[in-house]
Amino acid sequence: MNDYQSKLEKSFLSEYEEIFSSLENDILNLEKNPENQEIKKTILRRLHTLKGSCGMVENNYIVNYIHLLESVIKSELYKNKVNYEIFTFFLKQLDYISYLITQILKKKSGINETEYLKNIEILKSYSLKNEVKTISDSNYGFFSNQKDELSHLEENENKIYRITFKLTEKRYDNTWYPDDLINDISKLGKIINISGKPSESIDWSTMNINQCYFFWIILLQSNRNLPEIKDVFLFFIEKNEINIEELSNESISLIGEILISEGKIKKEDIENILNSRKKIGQMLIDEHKINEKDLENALKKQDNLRHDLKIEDELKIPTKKIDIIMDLVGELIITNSNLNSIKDSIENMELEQVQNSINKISKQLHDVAFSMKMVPISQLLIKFNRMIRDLSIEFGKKINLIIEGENTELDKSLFSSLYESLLHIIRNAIDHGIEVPEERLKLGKSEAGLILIRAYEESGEIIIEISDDGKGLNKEKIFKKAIEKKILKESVIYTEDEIYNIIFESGFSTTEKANLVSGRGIGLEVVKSELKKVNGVIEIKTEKNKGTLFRIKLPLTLAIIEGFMIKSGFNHFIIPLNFILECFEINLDLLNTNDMIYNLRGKYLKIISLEEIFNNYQTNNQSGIIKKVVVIKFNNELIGILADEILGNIQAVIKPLIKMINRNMCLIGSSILGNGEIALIIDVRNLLKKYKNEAS
Amino acid sequence: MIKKGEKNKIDILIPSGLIEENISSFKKELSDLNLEDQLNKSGSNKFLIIFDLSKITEIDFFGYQHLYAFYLYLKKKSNVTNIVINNESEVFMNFIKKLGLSFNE
Repeated sequence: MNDYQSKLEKSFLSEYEEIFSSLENDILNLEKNPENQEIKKTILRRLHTLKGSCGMVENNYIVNYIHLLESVIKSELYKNKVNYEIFTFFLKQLDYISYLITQILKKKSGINETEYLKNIEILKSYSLKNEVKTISDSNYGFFSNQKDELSHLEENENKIYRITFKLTEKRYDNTWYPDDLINDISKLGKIINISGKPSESIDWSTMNINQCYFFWIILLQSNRNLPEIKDVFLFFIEKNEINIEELSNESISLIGEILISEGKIKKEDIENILNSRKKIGQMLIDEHKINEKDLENALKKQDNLRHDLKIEDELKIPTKKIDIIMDLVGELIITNSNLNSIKDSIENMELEQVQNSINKISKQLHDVAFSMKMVPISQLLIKFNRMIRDLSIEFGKKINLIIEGENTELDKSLFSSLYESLLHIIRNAIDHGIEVPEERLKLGKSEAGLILIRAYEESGEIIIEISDDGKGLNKEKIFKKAIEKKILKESVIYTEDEIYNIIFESGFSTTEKANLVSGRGIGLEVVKSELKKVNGVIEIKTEKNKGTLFRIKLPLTLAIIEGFMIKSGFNHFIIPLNFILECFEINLDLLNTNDMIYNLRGKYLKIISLEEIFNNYQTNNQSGIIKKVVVIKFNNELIGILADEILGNIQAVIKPLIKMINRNMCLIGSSILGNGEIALIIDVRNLLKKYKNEAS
Repeated sequence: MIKKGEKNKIDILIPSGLIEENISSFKKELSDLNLEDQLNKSGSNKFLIIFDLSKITEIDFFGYQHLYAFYLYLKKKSNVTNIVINNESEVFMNFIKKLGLSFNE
């Protein structure tokens, strides 16, 4: 395989899962809305794109299989009566294509030929019913040719298409409207210019009111490939005049195209004029083809279009490269802090100005680099539709999934851990939470259970809630099992939260018999360990027969935080800024040194000393000494941290700590300061958890 | 649909539902205006015709096409000096913008 081919294959393998997820989702949506024409078209388009993509890297097993499937889907979807079994059949076909891709392209190993041929026969039996030919038999379909099928790799480029159509076919009342076609076209990109022109034959006294006497010229800016644009005219191609042309970058004269589409000039006018050397606009005026106003309008549109093309261009960058950029931004921030320290020691106006500029640029650079890693959580959540559908069937349960806040953005490096966590929570909800329909009806609930996934940003954290309206957790059963397994002691009084949190313990399960989905006591343990990897936490709220809610809290990013730096003892500490409530000075005489409780405006505030925790005393907390207290808040819990110095806000690049240092230390990492010293970053949640009992 | 009898000026108020279902009745109303007769009888008199589109609240392509064809039909009459499109409703404006249509072709 040559280098080019290898790059194509890499590109395909990095993208196909996304197409698969979307396809699965479309099929599931269609199952719920079988008459939705838009979804049908989208399914066909995606499958077509997938086939084209495969065609670039493989030209035998997979392409032929997808081609057959495409034909079957095309005919099955447009049958008068919906056969609901077909949706399961389509989903299984997707699974099989996924298997083919894995075996042939990922693992480079063979496939089970017998099974392949058997599946081909199944598809062909459908095909025979619908007289579908295989790809080698014909140039199937009305628009497709090899070049079109393979043009998907340009999918993300913005291209300009000139679409000309005249609908001359005989029309029956209320069957189609040009408005609908234009609507469909507008969904594929941005209509730069549209012009509907009457044909010369229109005559009010003799016209057929059911015939369309207009034709359209549309300039469309889109990242879709040619076959996808052509698919809009799926049912019109045979009996109408339709021409769709992709305008190449080399030959495109935007102003010319705009004027052509407005019907002010013809294509030939442009070609003739291009032979001279004057500016095209001026030449058209000289030739009396347009007036000054036409030129001015077209120039404005041209400017807007060029601007749009510029900002909408997309480029795929490997995540690794973005990580390198993030690292470099981190280094820049550290170096800048270093410069800041030097600036403070040298009084130099010019240096200060330069440093201020670097400060500003670093901040902007950080924001841009940070945004590059942020992706909508929908990319992750879309995968659960299929899983929930399949498991509902398996368990004989009816379950609706509602996703809210799918546009919430999250650092992509958190995806893997989050996916694992959600997977186990949802599986457990289906297996243990949601009741079978008969049981639900007896309880006065709706027949179908509900799984609701909500994502949103709050106080600099990403919150993901997964709730079900099932039977809720059984506290007594969990407690009993925990005693049996010697995880809890019968003699100790535990809070509800402590008992519920047992479900995350290794090997814990209340189910007597494990199945393929859950019950081995592994799943929820994975949730906790995965979330720990990404500094995430999870909380449970549950109510008998009402349901269970899992609330996951994740940091926005793993790389850089906005922090608040203090000095305590010999060390610098950074507290994530979003937890800071207030700062005040305290005379240690006013502090009860036995329990370190301070009366803050009538409320008891537990105060902790980082010097004590980290054993890095610089000064004794002697009486009469004035210190600072930083009050931090999390989940309505307050705690005060004693500080010798408050150094202010800092953008901290998080560097991992080795486990030995981090253990029980309530730290999430460290950061290197400008002067080379190390600051420890406080894990506020764990700190509060550890000391809140003492505070209460 | 109203036709004002002001001298050398004909006002035509286009009905609210300019949609396919209404084309037949719309055509009948236009025919009933007997504009053809009026223009023929006027001899050398020149007319200004005004289309008032303020009432249009519903429109589809075939409704529009019919109105446009009528506009062209009148425009070709030798004693019509001009046809003014007046008071276009928002629905009408949005529709022609979306479909790239214009009466000034």
